[in-house]
Amino acid sequence: MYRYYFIFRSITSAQFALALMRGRGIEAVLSSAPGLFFSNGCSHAVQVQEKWWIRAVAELRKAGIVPQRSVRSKDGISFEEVAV
Amino acid sequence: MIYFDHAATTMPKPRRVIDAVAWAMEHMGSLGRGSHSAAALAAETAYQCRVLAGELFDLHPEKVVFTFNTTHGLNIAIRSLVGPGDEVVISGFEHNAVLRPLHALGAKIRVAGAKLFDSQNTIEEFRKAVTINTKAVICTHVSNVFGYILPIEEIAQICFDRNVPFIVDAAQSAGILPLSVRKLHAAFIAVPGHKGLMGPQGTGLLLCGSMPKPFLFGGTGSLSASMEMPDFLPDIAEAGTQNIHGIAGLCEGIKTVKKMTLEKISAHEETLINTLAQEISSKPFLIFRGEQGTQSGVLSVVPKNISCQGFAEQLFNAEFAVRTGYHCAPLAHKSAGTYDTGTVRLSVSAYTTFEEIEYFVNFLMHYK
Repeated sequence: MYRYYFIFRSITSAQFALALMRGRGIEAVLSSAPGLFFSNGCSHAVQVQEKWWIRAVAELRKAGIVPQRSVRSKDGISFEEVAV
Repeated sequence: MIYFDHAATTMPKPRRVIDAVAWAMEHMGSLGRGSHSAAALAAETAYQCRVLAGELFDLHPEKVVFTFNTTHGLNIAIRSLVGPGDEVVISGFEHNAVLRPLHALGAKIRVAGAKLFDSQNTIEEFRKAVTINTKAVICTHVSNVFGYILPIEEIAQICFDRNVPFIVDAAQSAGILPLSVRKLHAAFIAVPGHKGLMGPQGTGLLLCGSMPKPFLFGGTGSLSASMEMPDFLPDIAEAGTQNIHGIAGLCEGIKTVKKMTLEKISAHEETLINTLAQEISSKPFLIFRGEQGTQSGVLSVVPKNISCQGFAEQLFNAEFAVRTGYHCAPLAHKSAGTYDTGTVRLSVSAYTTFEEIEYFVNFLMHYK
């Protein structure tokens, strides 16, 4: 099972997205920043399980929220980029 | 002690504010500096505070910047918009938190609206003073010396019509009177956390209708590989570790205000001040009093038979806490004609009781 990460430019943007997702009933948590692996400094991420991914993307799109990038991982060590 | 110095800082703080600060000191890590549970808790608390402030002041949570106090917020705002030699229009009731940064910058200061409790005159004066040469307008919402509620909606409209950025000093009004960043088209509104919002000292907010310039430079927990400060809010204006313990308290303070409602708080303060003014009116004091709706919970008086300091001393001995002197606003005293004496200031809050007012009135009973 994959874990998906939405990477945001700041902790506040991540919190904004997190609050939106939770408000829509999506189980999401603030996560360590896999952005570090993409030379993105300490970007902040919101993590969702695979079953929430499609809905999370839909809700973000609906709200006009654009993450800097998105990645997924099975083991939390290796990441691959995914399109939002 | 009976505390009539709420214009300096509200005291005591609500129990939930005190508890929140203590709890945060035990459980919260550094905001935006990690994703372990202690840091995440700090991030959630800070975000909740931004949301609450956003609801109260009508702006997006990401445009709420944490500051140390109103002065810090005003310095960021002024440095973002004003440069050396720029002309800035201010009211005749500004605090040194506005005057000193402008002076330090070498800005040309033009004062408009120096007639106390005369809203119409204030509006007319601003209409005349704001021109194509005006780089920014800065106006306090409420005079910290006299409680004069300045007509900021009309001043905001003048600024909007003439495309001049508007900065509001809300040190005495935030958490007491309605304030909307959107309706005022304000570039910035600087807010204290420890006065009307009932939070701890060392907290404040800068509400950003415009993009500020960085004031402090340093770590933000974002874009760490870059030597430049982030160019987005709130990080552009929040370098260094934030006061999350204070923010946790501020969060509870804002909740308290929202629960009490601004309408009830302002009505309560107005009634208290009316009662105070009425009771003092038969005594030998010069009382600075506005018409209905032009004065908040601050009342300044000048005793006729004794110096302000002397009267304050008597009050101190009777265990009343007031403030005397210039109140860091010499310009306001020049405007009101009290530069030679200063004033004795009595200020109330949502938590001031009628019993406290009565106690004061009893003290004055035999005062001649």
